[in-house]
Amino acid sequence: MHGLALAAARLLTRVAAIFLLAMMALNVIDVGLRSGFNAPIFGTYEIIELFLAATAFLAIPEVFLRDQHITIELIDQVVPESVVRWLKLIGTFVALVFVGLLAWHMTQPAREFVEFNDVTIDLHLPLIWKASLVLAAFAFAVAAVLVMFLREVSSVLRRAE
Amino acid sequence: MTTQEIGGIGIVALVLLTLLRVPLGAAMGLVGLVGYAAIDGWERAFIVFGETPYSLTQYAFSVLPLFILMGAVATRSGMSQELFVAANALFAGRRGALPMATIGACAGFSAISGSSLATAATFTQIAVPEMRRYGYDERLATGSVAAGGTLGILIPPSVIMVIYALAAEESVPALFAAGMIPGVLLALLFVAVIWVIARIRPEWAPAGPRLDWRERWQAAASMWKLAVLFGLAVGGIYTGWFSPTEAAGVASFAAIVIAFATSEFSWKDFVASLDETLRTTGMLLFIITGAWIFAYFIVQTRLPVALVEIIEFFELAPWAVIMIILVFYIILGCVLDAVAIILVTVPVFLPVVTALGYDPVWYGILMVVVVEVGLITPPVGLNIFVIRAQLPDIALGTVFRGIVPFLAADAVLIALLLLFPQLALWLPGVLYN
Repeated sequence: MHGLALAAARLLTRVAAIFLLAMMALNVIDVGLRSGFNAPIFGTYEIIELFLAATAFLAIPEVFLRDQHITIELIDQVVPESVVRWLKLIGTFVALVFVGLLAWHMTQPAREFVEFNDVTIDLHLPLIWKASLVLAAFAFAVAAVLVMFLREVSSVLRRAE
Repeated sequence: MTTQEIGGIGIVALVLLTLLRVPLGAAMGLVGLVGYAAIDGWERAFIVFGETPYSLTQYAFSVLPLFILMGAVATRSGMSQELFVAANALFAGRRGALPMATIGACAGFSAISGSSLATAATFTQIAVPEMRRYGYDERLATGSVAAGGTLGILIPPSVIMVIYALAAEESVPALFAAGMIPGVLLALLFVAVIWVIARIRPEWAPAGPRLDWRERWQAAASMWKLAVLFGLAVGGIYTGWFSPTEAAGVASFAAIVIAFATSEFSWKDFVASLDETLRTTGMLLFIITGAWIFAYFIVQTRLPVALVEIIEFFELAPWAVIMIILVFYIILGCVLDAVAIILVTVPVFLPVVTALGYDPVWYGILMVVVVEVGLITPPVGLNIFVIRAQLPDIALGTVFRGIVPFLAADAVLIALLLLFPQLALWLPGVLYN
């Protein structure tokens, strides 16, 4: 299951890469047009913010699945390995609670963006576009932490046997 | 219970959760949520909680992934190797030439990479085998790489400075300018440390072959890539051509073009650079999400106001407060990583420091230098673990012993920054007035 989840998360990271390159290209073209022809692209800030929403968050599931989030591992040096396994399980559970609560409560502002038809100032881009990308990233993050949690549970159970 | 007491309990809870291996972002976010709810009720707390990730998609944050991309491409395209050759040409023939070249190359590489870990990891692979080949002592070899790596976050562009700027709502260009002189000064202090070691223990630092001037110039000419990228990334901001985000975008584009045009940088390397950039960005943004929620909680506790009142009650001199904070940071640096220290402490200490009349830009630089010390001190010392991970045959104790003399250089820089704040503030003052 972890392998499958990792493959899906890598795909999300690649989608984020497209947005990252688009953000870079937009900056370069905007600077070029502004410097060369005094004709900057209208609404660049808003488009970049839209691209950033994908770039910044879509790789979070992969970071969870690779266990790369910053964790202070000092305790590993002073407690036995079996205790470390339990602590990892508890830590992953706390992360699951946090990401789950966050994703759930992020839906409220998203619903309001739709309800009030909120749009950006210059380009009138619906705010829900940006919000959907962030929300999707956190929803995938919940699934990723769940996979990690089940992995830790199975690791603890295997040892107990 | 007063809000300050709730704040105190929140901080203790955060320390406990992180020590129990809860991912830092989740620990900060949960403590922030529960603490905020304890003060202002669950309804308000959940509104702030749910809105936080959306607030992190503002334009200013786009500078982070773009600068990280530039550093990742520069690392994978071998620019670091060329820098090492060029810096070595400058010192060739002297005792301690290779560690000095390591410091020089790290300083140069810091100008295109904003990460200490990337700098230390890169030069462990390049410089340490070379130093071993020429018979350098392993303590000096690894110590110089660990210390040189710390320049990555002080010399602009620096990811840590961007994070401080975002957390403290300060100007990124001002912080970059403020880091320039202390960064170069620290590099010179590190070179001075190597010179002293080579004098006291000549057997640690044998003299290598000399190069003639033609060879030196040829090696120096290979630094044009660094000059172009630094010129775009940092120079572009100060000439008014670009905003920091535009500079990061243009410089990362230039790094990709230069990498494909002048080295064996392959499509595979390019994809790996993108993956690395996005995972680092995801990791940072997750912590920042938690830190922002935690910061909202700290604001509600009015803890900084209480700290100022305590300082006034005990009639502590501002410099004494700064010294206490510095000691606290050094202790914190031994157990927490740089991003965490900045994100956890800025909401608490920055209002106190500014209330005492200190400049937030100066404080940011001082923080970065102190946090740097944490990168090379046990037990966390991430730079040291990066070196050890790549060279498992070198004992951890050897690396720690090697780093001790370089800590003296950091201490000198901290003292100079305390005595002469203009070291950090002069350049931003000149550029912005």
